[in-house]
Amino acid sequence: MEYILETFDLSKRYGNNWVLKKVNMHIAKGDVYGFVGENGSGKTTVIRLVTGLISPNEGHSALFGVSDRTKDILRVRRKVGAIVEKPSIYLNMCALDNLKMQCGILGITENVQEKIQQALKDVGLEEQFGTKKSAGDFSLGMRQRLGIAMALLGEPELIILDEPMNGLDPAGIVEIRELIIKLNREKNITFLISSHILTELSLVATKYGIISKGELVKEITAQELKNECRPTVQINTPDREKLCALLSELLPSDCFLPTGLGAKVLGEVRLNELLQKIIDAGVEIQSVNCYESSIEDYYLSLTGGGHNA
Amino acid sequence: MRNLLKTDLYRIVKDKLFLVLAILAGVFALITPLANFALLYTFEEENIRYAMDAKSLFLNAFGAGSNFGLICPILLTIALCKDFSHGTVRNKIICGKSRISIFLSMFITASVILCGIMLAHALVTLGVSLCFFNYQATPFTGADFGELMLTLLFNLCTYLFVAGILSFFSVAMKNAGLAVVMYLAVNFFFVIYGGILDIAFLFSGSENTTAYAVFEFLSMSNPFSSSLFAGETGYTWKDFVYRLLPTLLGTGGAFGLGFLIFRKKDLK
Repeated sequence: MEYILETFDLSKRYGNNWVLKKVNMHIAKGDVYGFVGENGSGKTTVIRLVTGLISPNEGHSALFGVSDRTKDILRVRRKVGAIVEKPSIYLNMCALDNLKMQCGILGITENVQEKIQQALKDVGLEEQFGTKKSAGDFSLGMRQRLGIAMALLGEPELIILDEPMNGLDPAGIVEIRELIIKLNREKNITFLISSHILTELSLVATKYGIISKGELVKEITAQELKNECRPTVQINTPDREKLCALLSELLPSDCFLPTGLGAKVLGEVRLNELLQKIIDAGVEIQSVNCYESSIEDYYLSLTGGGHNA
Repeated sequence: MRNLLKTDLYRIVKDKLFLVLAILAGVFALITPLANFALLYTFEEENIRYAMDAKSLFLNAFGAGSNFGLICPILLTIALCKDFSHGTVRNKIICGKSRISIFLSMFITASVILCGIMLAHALVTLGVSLCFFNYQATPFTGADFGELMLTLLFNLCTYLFVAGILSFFSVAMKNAGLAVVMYLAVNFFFVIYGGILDIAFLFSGSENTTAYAVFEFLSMSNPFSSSLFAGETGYTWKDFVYRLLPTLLGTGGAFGLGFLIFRKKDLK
């Protein structure tokens, strides 16, 4: 299979601290790749590496089959649009000037006005065409959309968005989500979206890469993830430590997760027998909830818990 | 490369700081001759009146260690560093521009803006000065014109050196505040060093001594030297070898060092 973006043992070190360890990531054409991980897990570092903002200490990446160790990488990077952390826009300039600047950088000289108008229309900012409102006065959502419009000018085949939902209000999140789905479906643009808002990501992603502490723990398609999501039983108790110690004796370690109020039991279990054993062991049970596990549960089971995800 | 240069020039010209620069260039060009004229009539000193002419005011307008020559690079550094503070330099890299072309574009932009605005400032100063003073005590000849052109060349080369330093500090620091502080430190160093050398040069003995030759070279090779215009005898080969060459080498050094840093710099 030919990948649009692939990394080979990509590693990055700051001083003696390896922040990224041998990441092997695979994104095929048309994917909406959800890049999931807690804060500081290395998501942004991977994005910076593949966009050429920083250099790896070991390993390399390939865009459209071209290795970043070759000079051709500069040519293929033109097919990529990216917003890393925050949209890179001139806050003192209006939307039109920012887009003109981007056209200048990309070397677009023909039909500039039409292309700018189309990009603004694609992101729902068409009312900004011809106005002099500076980007510094835009809301965060408008800045994100302007950033995406700038990325769209180069007619990219891959758009990389780093935490695009950060700081957005609910309406803004919906707007960005709908825009991603529209661009993916109508223009067949591949997306790499990093986020720690897992439920939001699950609404758009067709494939996931789960990263934790600098290591890519798992790559999984949305369909596979759906199959993996197991029934979950949340047991709440005041004797959390006692419950966890008991569960570790009764169940394999990947079948339960300690939580703040007690523990989660993952997968099919004989609930009556389990609860009886817990009661017999003298652990007080406050409540028991049964439900289908979510991407968050799956993430936590893979990474062994996480504070921010 | 041409596209990058156009966008870099466009963003600086669109910046409000450029407008501030243009206003300050005009204000300083107006104030300096007026202040000198007022000084002349306040003291009515014969030696001051003798020393004052439009030529010296014009050439002093290029001084990199004082007045507008000090302010202009500072404001330009702030404008240059906005590419890092706004994160817009990332757009250029993500779009596949090479780091050498990005840095070269930054250097050329700094050079064009600095040289252009300093030249405009000096020409306006000359224009205003001519309203109050003669160009020089003696009639203006063809030789004076040649000397003037050479002086302009030397001064503009000094600002190429300044542009090299600014570009270097901009990419090394990626922060306007730090880059300005570093530029001021370098500027003050050269000005103080130049002052000390000028005094040492005065006391270095007769022309044929080694000490004289050494101090002469050190003094002349200081790119921020305030005495950067031809003496009564006009320019000699020493001006080209001792002044122009070190300035151009310094520019190349600052550019090379800046590129070496930027080539491997992590951009966050």
